[in-house]
Order: sequence, then structure tokens, then C-alpha cells
Amino acid sequence: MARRAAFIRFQRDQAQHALVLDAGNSLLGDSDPAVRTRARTSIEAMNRMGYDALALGMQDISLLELSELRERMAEAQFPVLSANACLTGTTELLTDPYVVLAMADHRVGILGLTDAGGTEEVVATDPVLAARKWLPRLQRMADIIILLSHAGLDIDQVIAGQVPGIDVIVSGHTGSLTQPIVSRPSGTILLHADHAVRGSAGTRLGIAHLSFDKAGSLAEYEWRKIILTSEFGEDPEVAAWAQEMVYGGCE
Amino acid sequence: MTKASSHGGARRDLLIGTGAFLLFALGSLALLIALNPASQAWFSWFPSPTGEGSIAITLLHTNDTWGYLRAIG
Repeated sequence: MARRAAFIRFQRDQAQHALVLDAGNSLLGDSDPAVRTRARTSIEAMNRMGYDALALGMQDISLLELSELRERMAEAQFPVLSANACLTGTTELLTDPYVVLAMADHRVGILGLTDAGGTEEVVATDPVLAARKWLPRLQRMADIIILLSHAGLDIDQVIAGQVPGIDVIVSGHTGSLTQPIVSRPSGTILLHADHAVRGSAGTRLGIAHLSFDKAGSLAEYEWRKIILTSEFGEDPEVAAWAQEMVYGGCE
Repeated sequence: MTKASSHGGARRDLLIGTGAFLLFALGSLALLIALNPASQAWFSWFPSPTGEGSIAITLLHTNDTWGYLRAIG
């Protein structure tokens, strides 16, 4: 994580405008300290790295009690999004469906989606229906549209084919890409950085350089997947913090 | 003070009080709408915003990190 923090900081310093997003299932999985702290360390790590938004994955919802999840969302210094996670038995959304960020004289709309499923407390409904409902509304408020989705690549491709006007889909969950998928005829590009692997989750990161014209249409892009090997430097402050969280300050 | 001027003062106070209440109610309603993302759709008849120039954005993204904090990654 200290390598990711250093890489993000370097790229932020280089870029005039930068966005750092997570497409879900990044709060906890199978190991401490995330399990022990009920994802408190995950949120703090993302706060330290300056994330701009996170879409909830079903694992984030199902491995936490609703009260714990609400505490984590309150601690997050970034929006936690889902346009299809509802309180069970109601139509009330668990959290905000989208966020609109101002960048120069553009507005970037980011809609979050969760993979379908549920618990006793929260149900994630059909992500395709949610995308069809919310994206046209978001397009009235923003000229650049990013879908931050944990629905999975197959479903994200369906959405790209059915809902026009999405510039970029940042995908999570199933699948993994070495090259972006370009959906036709919409021209929406789909990016997917990683698939969770026990013991090495979080070592991959995607970086896209996106150029939009004055109307907010994607004009050019370049995308790479980065594997954060030992060749990458660490952020010393984040490394010290992570060391303390993982080992309690002891080697 | 005459009876007529006393009535005039009471009417003025009533008008000021009603106006202040209406202003407060409208302000509260506007604040509620502004803070609720779902209600922003009410304004969907506004034309879609566009910028005045092109923009380059560096997008960094992760997923499925499971909250790992290990030194690697």
C-alpha cells in the first residue's frame, strides 16, 4: 500500500487534474488488520491516499454489519457510492448514488454501482436497471460521465451498450484486462485493473490519461496497468503507519 | 396612541412575521433540495453543462484490494 501511496502522490503532482477511484470490494476480505478493525484501517488508508470516490461492492456490504458500514462511510473523506444498494424491504438507497466534481470549467459525474445480491439489511438491485435510471439524470448535471462499477465486466459491457453517453467505465469484480475494451457504437471505454488474489490483492492499479474536448466528449486516451513491484518506491509516512497497523509496531 | 394606529402596528408586525416565516420555510426547502442528490433530478430540464475548453485528466483506479495493507502494493 505504501507503494500505491507513493505512486498516487507522484501522479497527482505530475497531473493538472487527477482522479483516484476504487471500484469496490476494497474494505475487507480475509486478513488483518482490515478484518480486526472492521475495515477502519481500509478507510484510513484511502483517506491518506486521497481517494476521490469508492463504489461499494457486495463483499464490502456482506462482511460488515450495517452499523459498521455506516461508521466507515462516516469516516471516509470521500464519497462512498451505490445507485442500487437499498435498505432491505425499502426503496431507500444506502448511500449517495453519485457525486459531481468540478474540474476546471467541466463537471465530472461519477455514478457508483454494486454487484447484485443482498444481506438481511441491504439488497443490491439489478445494476443495469439502476444505470438506466440514474445515468440520464447525471448527464444533465455533468459533461464528463464516469461509471464506477462493481457489477462485473460482463454486466458493465451490457450497460455500455444500452446507456449512451458514458465516457469511461471503471470496472471491478469479475474479469481482468490487459487492454481497455471499447464498446461500439457508444465509444465507451472499459477499464479494469485487478482481480482479487488471496495474498496479493491491491498490488495492481490502472492509470489512464484521458483528454476531453470542450463538450466533455472523450477525445483521446491511454491506459496502462501497473503492478507495484519492489522497483516502486514507498511513501515513508504511509509505510510507517501501515507497519504499525499490520504488526502493531513490531517486526 | 390612537386605536387606529395600534391596529396598524399590529398588522405591520403580522406581515413582517409572516414574511420572515415564509422566507425561512423557502430557504429550508431550497437547502433540503440542494443537499439531496435524488432531488437534483428535479432540475433535469436545465441544459447539460459544457466546459469552455478541453481538459486532460489522469485517472488512477483500483478495485478488489480487500483492504490489504501489506508493504507490497
